[in-house]
Amino acid sequence: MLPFLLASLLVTGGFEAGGRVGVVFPASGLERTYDAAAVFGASLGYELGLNRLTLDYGYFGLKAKQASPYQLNVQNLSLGYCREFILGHAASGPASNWGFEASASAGLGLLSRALGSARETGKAPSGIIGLDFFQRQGHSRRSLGLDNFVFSESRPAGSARTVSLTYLIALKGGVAYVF
Amino acid sequence: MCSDACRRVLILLAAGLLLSGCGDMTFYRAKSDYFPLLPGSRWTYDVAGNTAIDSVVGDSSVDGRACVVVLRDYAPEYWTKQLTEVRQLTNLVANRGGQDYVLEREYRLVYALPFVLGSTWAESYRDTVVMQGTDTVLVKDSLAGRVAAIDSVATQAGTFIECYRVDTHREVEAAELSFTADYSEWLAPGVGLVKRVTGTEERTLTNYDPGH
Repeated sequence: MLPFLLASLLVTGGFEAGGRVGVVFPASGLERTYDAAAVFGASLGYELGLNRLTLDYGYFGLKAKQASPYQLNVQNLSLGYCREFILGHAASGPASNWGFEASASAGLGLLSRALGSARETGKAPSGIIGLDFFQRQGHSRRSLGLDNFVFSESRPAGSARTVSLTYLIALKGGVAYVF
Repeated sequence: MCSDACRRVLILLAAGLLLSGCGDMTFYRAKSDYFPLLPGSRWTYDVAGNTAIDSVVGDSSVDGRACVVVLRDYAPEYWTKQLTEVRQLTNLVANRGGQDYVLEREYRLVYALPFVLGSTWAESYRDTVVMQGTDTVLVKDSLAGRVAAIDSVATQAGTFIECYRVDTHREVEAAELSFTADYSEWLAPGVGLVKRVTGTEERTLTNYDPGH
């Protein structure tokens, strides 16, 4: 039964691959010591009508506000779900449309803090909520939107537990090819 | 389609990951202040059964430089703090024949920030001072620091996680004021110094008031 379902999904759906660039703005305390930084990413998607599953990779490196060789690097790998809300069709045909898409992803951030030759590494689970404007024309899809990253960390501290949530927001634009 | 199922799976996955708390607290350390100098802050320590109190009085200016006045056991110290370093005013004064001679008066590097496990810093000061007209004294003051570990520290004031242990070696060669010191300090996020070990002497935090 399951192979049949998967096979039918693969026949009715379509793949896409894309990339994006943008700017990430630190928040929740990071903004005191870090500047905004460029964010780069790539994603693979599988479309089912208005729905899309994505496997996404993103990277950004936050630098200290004062001149320093210190850098906080974040690589994030996530699995997400997107839902398109089509608001209009272009005159060029049914394959061309535009609208908004909302996305939710869960993943894992691989972190490293580096100062000269000193380095700390770590990881933190992440959740990403995104909202994009998109325009699709034939096989290409362009998008512009926001990603809201939340990284969660926690550790026991005596009889209590310390929980730390770190929030970052990214403004990004992307292009994708729909096969 | 599978949209409902996908959504449920992803929501569960996201909630599970966020609540599982398998993070390494790297972001937490990256955004924490390990040397807060807020006015009104007060640290109470136990030092071999005696009570010692440090407190932040407020801002001042010494030798043309803005600084923060900290009372350590009621004696004033002058600190400067930037994103990349913490400095303390060193004032070495020797008395010869009833006259004071300033051997060193510098804002000396204490910590290089931010703390990253394995990072090191060092700074040296050299000068010569003529005392009593003919006696030339060579003054050397060097400090080397290293972030040696990330520890949890249990004190009477509570358990502090993600503390950086900073090992420091200081050598001062300045006539009768010469000394060598090796000490380890544990600095906790949002609190500052929670423990300090110098030789056999241990200073541990018993109470902390974060000020305002």
